[in-house]
Amino acid sequence: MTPHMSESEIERRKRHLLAEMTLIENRHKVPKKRYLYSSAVAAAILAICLVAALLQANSGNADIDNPELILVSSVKAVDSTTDVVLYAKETHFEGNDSSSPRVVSEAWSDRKTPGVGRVKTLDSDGKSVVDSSAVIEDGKTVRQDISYDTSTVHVSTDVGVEVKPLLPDQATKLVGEELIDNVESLHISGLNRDAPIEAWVNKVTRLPIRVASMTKGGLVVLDYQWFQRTEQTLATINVAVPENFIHSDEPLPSNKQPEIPGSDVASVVVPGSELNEATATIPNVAASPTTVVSASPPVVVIPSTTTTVASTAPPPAPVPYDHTSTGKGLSGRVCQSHFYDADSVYVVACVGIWRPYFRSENQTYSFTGVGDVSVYRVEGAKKWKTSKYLVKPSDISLTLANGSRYDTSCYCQPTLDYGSIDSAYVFEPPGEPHTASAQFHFEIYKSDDPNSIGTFTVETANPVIFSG
Amino acid sequence: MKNDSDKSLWQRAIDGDHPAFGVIFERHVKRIYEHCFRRVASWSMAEDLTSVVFLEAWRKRENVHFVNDSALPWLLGVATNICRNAVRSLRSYKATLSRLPEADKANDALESDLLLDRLHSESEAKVVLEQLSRLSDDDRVLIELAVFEGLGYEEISTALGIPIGTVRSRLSRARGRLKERTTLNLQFNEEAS
Repeated sequence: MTPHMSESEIERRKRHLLAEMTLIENRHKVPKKRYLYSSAVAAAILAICLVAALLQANSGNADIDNPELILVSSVKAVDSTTDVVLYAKETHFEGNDSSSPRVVSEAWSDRKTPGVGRVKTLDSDGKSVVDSSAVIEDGKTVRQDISYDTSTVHVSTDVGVEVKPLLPDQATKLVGEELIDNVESLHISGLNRDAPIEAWVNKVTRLPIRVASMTKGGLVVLDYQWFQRTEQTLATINVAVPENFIHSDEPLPSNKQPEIPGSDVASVVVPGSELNEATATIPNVAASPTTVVSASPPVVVIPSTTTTVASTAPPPAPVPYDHTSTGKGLSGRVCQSHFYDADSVYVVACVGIWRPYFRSENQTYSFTGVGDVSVYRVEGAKKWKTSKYLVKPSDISLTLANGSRYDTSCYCQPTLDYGSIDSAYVFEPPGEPHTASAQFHFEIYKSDDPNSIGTFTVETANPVIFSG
Repeated sequence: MKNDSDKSLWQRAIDGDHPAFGVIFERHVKRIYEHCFRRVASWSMAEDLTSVVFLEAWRKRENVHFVNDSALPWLLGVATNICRNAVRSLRSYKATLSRLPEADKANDALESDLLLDRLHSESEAKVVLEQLSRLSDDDRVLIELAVFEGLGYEEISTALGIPIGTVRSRLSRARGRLKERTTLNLQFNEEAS
């Protein structure tokens, strides 16, 4: 009853295993017991070893070819670097080319004092729209929002300003070493909440210096600078209220308050359109390795008509399912359909075959259907399996040319990333060939909601011939 | 290297000779895959679980137990635990599995007979699973290891991490319940019967 794993599959998984072993080894290193000897010589050797280890760690070369380790070291560097003022700038590149970069916000954050910082939004001419700053007074966080639209100053308490550098939550690739504003950096590609993101981290300190991601409006680039915490740098957080501005006791409405750079990158992703038809790519913001960054990166923007479709979109239309004879039997091809929600585009893809055959033991025709069904999330040219949605095969309909219709049940298993349709049986007298068309029905669920949100049907493009 | 024992290959892998672990993988992958498949009745899920078993085995490489220099019983134990929480296991290794190189779908589609076998096997497996589901999970695992994997008492003991005496008594009771509650006529390993 057990199927075989194909030799090519075994080889593929063996290569994957060997590639992952080093990563696991580094992640789960079994600590070795160290024995300290009391002699001065042993202590000296140990000291030398420690210095060497520190030098190695600081040299940034130990994990240079491993994007995940680079990311881990970067996260650690961000967490442990507190005696600094962090500056962040968010730039949008709008339109179909790189000719219109626009700085939309800037922020400063005292990393040593949580909540103390400043953020301001800028209009298209580079003028301040709202400038908000927060300081600690008498143990309380006091925030002032200066609105240049209304010439008012709003003071509130307990809501600070804090910049948290955006980093991928998964690193997938080390692109290479690049110069960003004359700083040697490591460029890694990764994912942030399932959306592609590019990050550049300082090669030595591992602190992030640039992040780029596609959003609904186009490319967003975040630049970070890390300044020593001095009187001068801390002074950038304090903002003088312009003369003649009116003080208001009402806090500035939350929808008018400036957003910290990067806050929209983390929550907005751009849907692609069709599988294999990339309409959006994350451009390489650094023009090429070892060159100074161009301020005007090339960018491709998704047409706005394909960006968002409500989750109540109608069920996708049936998709033809190719049905091709190979001589040995019948082999299917990959079939696909797509649907949308507010975040992204999803592709339901199936690969498999179906083939009718005669079962002598009960004198019936039988056929076997689609082999594997998965839901992929699509971002531009990239796609990956998602567990946000489940696809569950529900049943198979078969209509013979003589008018007989079979709504067969199938061995439909619960699915997470997987789904398969199994055999169905057709009770027709053997002997004469029967021609049929078949439809495979699926239901799509949100993984955290048992209520189906739609159905998906794959039907044969060509008739199936049953013959005894 | 192909003729070396699991024990010696395992040590070589730990010492940095990673391809030695590849030999262990090749040696046992089919048995592990079959065991996973019998537990979840889905070939695609079983393939991913098989990868997870070996990745997890490498993560726990210092805890391996050999029976007659073979790592198979211990690997089957790892597989049993992985399959018991299959969904959680796959989620834990989601990022790792996402780095699997793309399969050649064109070639896969041409392997129609293989796919047909798989689909039929799944339906047959589900019939057996349905019957075995009338037993407790502990009973099921014991029977699967003794019948389908043909393991003896000592090997089952290593796989499940329980004393041999307990294996004997539990297996005896499990066989009684198998006879009582199912119509399956399974052949037990003589050493474990």
